[in-house]
Amino acid sequence: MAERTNLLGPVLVAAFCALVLSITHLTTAGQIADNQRAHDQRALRDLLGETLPDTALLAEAWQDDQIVWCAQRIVAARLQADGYAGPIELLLAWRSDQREIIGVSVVRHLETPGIADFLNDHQQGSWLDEFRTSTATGVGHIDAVTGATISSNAVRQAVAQALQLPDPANTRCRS
Amino acid sequence: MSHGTQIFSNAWLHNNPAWIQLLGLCPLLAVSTSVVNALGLSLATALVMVGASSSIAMLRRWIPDFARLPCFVLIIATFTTAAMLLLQAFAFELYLSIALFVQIIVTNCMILSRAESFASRQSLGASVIDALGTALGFAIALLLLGGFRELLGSGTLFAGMSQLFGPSAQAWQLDLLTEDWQIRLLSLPPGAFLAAGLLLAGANALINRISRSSTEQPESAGDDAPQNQGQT
Repeated sequence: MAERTNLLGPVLVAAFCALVLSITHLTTAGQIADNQRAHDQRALRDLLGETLPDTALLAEAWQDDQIVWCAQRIVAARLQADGYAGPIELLLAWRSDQREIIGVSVVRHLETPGIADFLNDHQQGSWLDEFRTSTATGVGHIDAVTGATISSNAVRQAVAQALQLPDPANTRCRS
Repeated sequence: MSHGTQIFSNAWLHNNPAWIQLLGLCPLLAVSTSVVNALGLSLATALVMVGASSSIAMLRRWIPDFARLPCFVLIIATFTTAAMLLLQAFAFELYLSIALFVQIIVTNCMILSRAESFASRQSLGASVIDALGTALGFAIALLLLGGFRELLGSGTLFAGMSQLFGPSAQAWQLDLLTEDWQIRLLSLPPGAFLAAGLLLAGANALINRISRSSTEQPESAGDDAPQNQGQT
């Protein structure tokens, strides 16, 4: 009898926790998915902003697989780099005919704050800015960031690999 | 002073988690780069604090002594996850900048210590008051540091409040210091330690002065010097 009461307590606590979590998850899941999508689209708009006059097209052309956007010989893809503390999610936009990078933007990462702050910095002259207008060989010449070699090499590698992808423009892009 | 207000002032002032008990310093140092970050983490911590303390007080009869800590940690982790989900749903941009520190609320000894030393022994009402007081004390310390570091480190106050209060809050930003007057060091990690040290020194000086002036008046002096409790 004593053992039964002993076990009942933890089971009750676990059930209570499960209940709290399920209720919060159910009430927030839709909103979170919307927020994430809006965030990704904003990142893409920032990335393509200069090259793409009609950004209104963006929301409807958004595709939920690796290639998120392709039109006017511009391809944007969602990439995942294997970072130091977890996956680094990137958006990469490039011109499919010249294989020239338009820009790289980090959407989400779990790297150490402070040390990996350069991943959040998309301003001119930042590390991510060095990818602009470079090609696959150019990416090889970009230096890794001191103190964050794993993170920066992961980004470089993912970008270089994506540029090797077969040109999707022929198969499934709008012109 | 009634029992409730006694608990509350003990929690936020006399046993302040940040400058008396020195608990929860990791998020305190890491997130206090701006007021908006400080406020976001304060709110998340308050939610976890109140949720966990009230649940533990409610369930305390069913929590067996041998499984006490696992149960506390499970409950705290539950509310931390809930806080993260809520933050993602209602302040996504803010979530992106403080996500890591919201996750480690689980390991914040401040919350565990209140669970162990207060919520598991007291009634639901008293525990909620204690949790609110502790959360307030933590928030005050965090906001003081955040404001200090944002003002001197980047010359602004309330920048990026729109992350928490929507686009209308963009106008709240005050640009107070030009670049010549900013101390860049304060927005970097070493600056957090310096600022926290100054805060601790200031708080201790204030407490010493108050307790010295209260010993000069014999009727209020003596046995209830609660500011020493936390140091045990």
